[in-house]
Amino acid sequence: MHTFQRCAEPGCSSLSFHGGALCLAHNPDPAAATAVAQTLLLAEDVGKDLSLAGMSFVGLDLSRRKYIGCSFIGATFRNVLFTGSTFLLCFFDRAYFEACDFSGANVQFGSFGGSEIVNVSFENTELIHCNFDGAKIRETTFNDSNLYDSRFIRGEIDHCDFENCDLKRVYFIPARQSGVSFKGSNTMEAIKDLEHLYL
Amino acid sequence: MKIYHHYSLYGFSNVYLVGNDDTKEALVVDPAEMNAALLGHIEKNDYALKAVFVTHNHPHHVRGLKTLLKIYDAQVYAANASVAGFPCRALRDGESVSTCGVSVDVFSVPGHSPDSLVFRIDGMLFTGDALHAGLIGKTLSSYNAVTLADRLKSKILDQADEYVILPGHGPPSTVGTERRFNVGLEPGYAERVTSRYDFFV
Repeated sequence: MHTFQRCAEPGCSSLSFHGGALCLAHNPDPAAATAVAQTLLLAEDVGKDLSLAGMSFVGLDLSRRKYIGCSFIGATFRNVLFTGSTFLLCFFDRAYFEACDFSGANVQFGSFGGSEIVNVSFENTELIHCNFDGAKIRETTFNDSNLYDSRFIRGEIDHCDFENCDLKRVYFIPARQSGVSFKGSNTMEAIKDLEHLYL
Repeated sequence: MKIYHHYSLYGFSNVYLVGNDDTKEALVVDPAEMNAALLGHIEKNDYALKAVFVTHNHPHHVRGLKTLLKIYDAQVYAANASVAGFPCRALRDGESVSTCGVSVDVFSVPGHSPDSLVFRIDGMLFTGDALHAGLIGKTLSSYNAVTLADRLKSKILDQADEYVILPGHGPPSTVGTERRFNVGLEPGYAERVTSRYDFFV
């Protein structure tokens, strides 16, 4: 699991960034720290227990990689390819995604809570036991995906497609939704109100 | 520290194996079931299973104890003196237990059940059925719901935003996400809860 060590800067409550005792914001050379992490990500097919909170990812091809127990909390992803990649127990809370591709990915037991997701493809993706609570999702496709036991509670979902998806045990109770298509999906097996909880 | 998440189809529960690669010891949180996959993971990593932590005594979180204790000589920790007929070391609120080379902090959060505990290991909070992603545990009265919400706010959600929530059912979350988006913590939610029977409560 990624580190829970606090940033060494007095008064800072953030977690330390990969390879150091400080968070990215207090690192004297954040560009160098980011470059080291980026080199590592590109060089290795498997990333375990990485603490990359707050990092900015732009234009990277991280397809067909495997990440286990990593923290990407508060990170920014622009034009990043995660095509066919695997994520186990990874955290993307408060992250920002724009024009990214997760198609064919396998994301299990992960959290995207409070994140902002714009123009992202989750087509043909395994999104099992994933938490999208509070996420603002726009112009994004989840078509042909397995969303078993995932949650979309108190988020905002605009112009997104969930067509031909497996929605079994999915909690779909967003605060607001518009232009959402569920064509061909088993919406009857999703939980769409608080009166019908399994817990 | 390694975390292995196992999804049990009995009660759709989460079982967690926490392994310490330095000491080669491991503990299990909420053994809903003990099957070949979980046992294989323990053996493959050459772990000595030393402890079992039970968040609350509901069948779909403890049914695997019987099998587990036939194989391993592990100490069981819970709020009660016995669980499923097995003797336990009874835990109290605010206590810390050292085992497998880690410190386990104990928080009592009654409401879903009187014996509900949350365990904290490093920055990981094993919340059982007290707190799930987006929801609080089901209760049989508004009194219990209010009690649970109050305890969660004062003991669990006052911790660091980045701390990870590993619940008894459903996906993981973080403290920051739950503080901002959990439906059960909305003003008035707990007061509206009514009694309702459910097999998997």
